[in-house]
Amino acid sequence: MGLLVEGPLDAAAVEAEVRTPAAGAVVVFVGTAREETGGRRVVRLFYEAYAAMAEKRLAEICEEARAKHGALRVSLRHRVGECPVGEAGVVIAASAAHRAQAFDACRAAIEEIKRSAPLWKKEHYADGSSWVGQGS
Amino acid sequence: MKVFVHLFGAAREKAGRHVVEVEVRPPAMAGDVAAQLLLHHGELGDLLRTAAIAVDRELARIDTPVREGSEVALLPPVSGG
Repeated sequence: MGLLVEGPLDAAAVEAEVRTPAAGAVVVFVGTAREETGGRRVVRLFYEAYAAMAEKRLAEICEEARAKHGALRVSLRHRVGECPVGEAGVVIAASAAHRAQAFDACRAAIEEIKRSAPLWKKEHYADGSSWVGQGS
Repeated sequence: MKVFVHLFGAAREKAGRHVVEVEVRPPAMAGDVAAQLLLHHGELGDLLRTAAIAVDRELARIDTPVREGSEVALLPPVSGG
């Protein structure tokens, strides 16, 4: 538990969790809040979670990505609440004996978060806001 | 029996609250909860057609049982990451 974090994420700390002498590679993915989407200027994001389910799903995603790609360790943190432009919304780290496994596990974890973790992103613009993918 | 449905994202904003209550007759399934939401919470609108339902923190199917005290949630299309 504790994969959801309010406030800035510490990428170095997530990376440290996957370090192991058995690893020959560590890949860290940092998803950041972009200043523009579909031609609109974004001023900040807001992440909402179904916390109890998201904690469980995120832990499963780490384990699934690790097992599927033969990685050694996979860890992550996802932000909740306000996320200013330029700051991290998600950090994922994967370690593996070889780089391909680490890249693949890291990629699989972010894609699965986007597909199935009960988290929602609201974009705030200079002149309004909208929930991504919810038609409002 | 009363079932409390947790709302998120646009659904929470449209309803103006985090939780709505619906009445279903036991033995009930997730689909019955969705039908009651459609009937009594029209403000949720098109979201009801695109949202998933979770029962006790697992994605539910239309025939997933819902019991007294089950934790039910309406999940709009997710957009984390």
